[in-house]
Amino acid sequence: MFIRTSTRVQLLFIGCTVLASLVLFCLLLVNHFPFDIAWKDALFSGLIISILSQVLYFIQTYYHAKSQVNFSNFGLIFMLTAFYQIMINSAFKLVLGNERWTHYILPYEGPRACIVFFILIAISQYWWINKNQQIQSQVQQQLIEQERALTKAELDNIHQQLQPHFLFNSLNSIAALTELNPKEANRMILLLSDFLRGTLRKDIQTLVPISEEIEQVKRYLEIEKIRFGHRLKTAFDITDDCLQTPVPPLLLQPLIENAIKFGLYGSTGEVTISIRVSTNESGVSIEVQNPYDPDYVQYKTGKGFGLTSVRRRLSLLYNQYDLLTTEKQDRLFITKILIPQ
Amino acid sequence: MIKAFIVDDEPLAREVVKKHLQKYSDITLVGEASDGFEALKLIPELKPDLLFLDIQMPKISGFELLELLSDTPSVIFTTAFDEFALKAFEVNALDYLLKPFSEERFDAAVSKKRNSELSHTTQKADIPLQIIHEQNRIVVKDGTEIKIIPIQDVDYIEAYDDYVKIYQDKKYILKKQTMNHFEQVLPKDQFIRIHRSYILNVNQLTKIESYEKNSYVAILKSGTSIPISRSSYSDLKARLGL
Repeated sequence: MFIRTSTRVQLLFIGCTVLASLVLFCLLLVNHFPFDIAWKDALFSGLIISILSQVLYFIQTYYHAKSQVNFSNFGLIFMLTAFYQIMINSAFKLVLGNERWTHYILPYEGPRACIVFFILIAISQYWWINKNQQIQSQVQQQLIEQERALTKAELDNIHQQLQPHFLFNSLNSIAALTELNPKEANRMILLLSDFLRGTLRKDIQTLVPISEEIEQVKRYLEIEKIRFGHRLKTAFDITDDCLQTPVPPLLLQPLIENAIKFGLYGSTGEVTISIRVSTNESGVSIEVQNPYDPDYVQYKTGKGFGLTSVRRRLSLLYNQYDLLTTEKQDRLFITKILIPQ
Repeated sequence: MIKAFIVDDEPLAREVVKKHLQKYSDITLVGEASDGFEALKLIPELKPDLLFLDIQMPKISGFELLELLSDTPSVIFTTAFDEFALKAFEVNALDYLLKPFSEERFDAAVSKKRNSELSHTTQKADIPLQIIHEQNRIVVKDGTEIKIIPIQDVDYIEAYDDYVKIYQDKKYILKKQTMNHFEQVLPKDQFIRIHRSYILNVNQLTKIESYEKNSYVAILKSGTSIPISRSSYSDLKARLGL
């Protein structure tokens, strides 16, 4: 489209006004009005109505009423009609003189007012519909954007699931265990397959009870414990009353991975990752804690969208933007998620 | 006798290498480390000939460990498939083992070292590790301490014989590295080689002054002024959008 919608609509409108003025002009001529009165009336009326329609346009654009028919609008149009009458009458009185005005204009005062009133109502309605369409297309656009964002979040999530580094290192540990400790190798294989099954969930939209999410996290950390040996310790503190709370699936995975990344790769000593789930008045709060070194600069890995994607998912689901928060307490990094009730 | 050393943060991964090494009578395992710091202490002491090195490890990566070692033994990287495998530096590795690896694959890697011992020649990796990726930190040894410098804290880098001086707030740390290396690995939007001997962090630049006819100096926030070569002056201007 070369011309913006509003400009296009305005041009169309000007065209209509010119046409209406011409029709009025012809009607007056046909009804044996003098030529000069016919063109003056057509010109004045056209001009004034154009101006009034602009007033209505601004009103409808900037104070868009919820319902199409409303009384304040009618009142306004009534006043605008009166304004038109006064303008036309005083103009013609001045231009034509009292005598001709009494003869040609005064007798038609009533019908003229009626016609103008309805024309203005029609214009007002037209602008309302026009504005309404704009709003609706905007709403639609927003819906499309939202849909797109959701798909993006899902895609990121799928990407999250593919953690080649974790997967191949786990397989390598299994390879070592098959000879050193076949029983442990077996346990690791079962843990890994249960974990992978958990990540290959098809429907990312369906909420799952938090207990399931915790189980998944426990599997993951159990595998990491086998990989890292004594270096990794975990602590769970979960109150029973929130176990059934529905949460988006795989929500905690990026948090745990983050904790591993900064906890285990940011230090060379023993690392404890703690997970706390509790209920408070605003909902269920999930806390993941890991030690971290404030001076440590993370080697460039990944795209860093772990927490960002969690934040986006939460905001899309609950329409709140502050559900994921992070804080640093001396040498502890805490990620908190609030699931609203 | 070949002295071998394993660096891997996963105990089980070290076990795999140990187990595969057992059958070689001409290779002895002299030590192992679970992170770069430990390795940095032990390797100069034990002077191994062959290093099995993981890449992603706590604190410093396998690549950074190699940069810090003054005498590098032959290196066989052992790593899981990840982006490190693709974004490797220009490191002279003997081989590159992707975890988990078969015994045959391991033997093939080790045989390169054994053959070179026999023929007294050094063999290079089959896989050219030439793909360079941008760095966001520089690891340096300052006396006995290892420092990790985020690149945004670097003011500029100056050539100094076989070394470079990495300047931070008028103080510098030496690192054995070439200017060309830094020119390649530092993000191009932040660091510009403004002279044969200088790479500048443009965020530290406050003004460019004319020095003599057709010669300019860059004035840094710290007040230091460094020369800009004639050929790179137009580059710098273009980069700054002048």
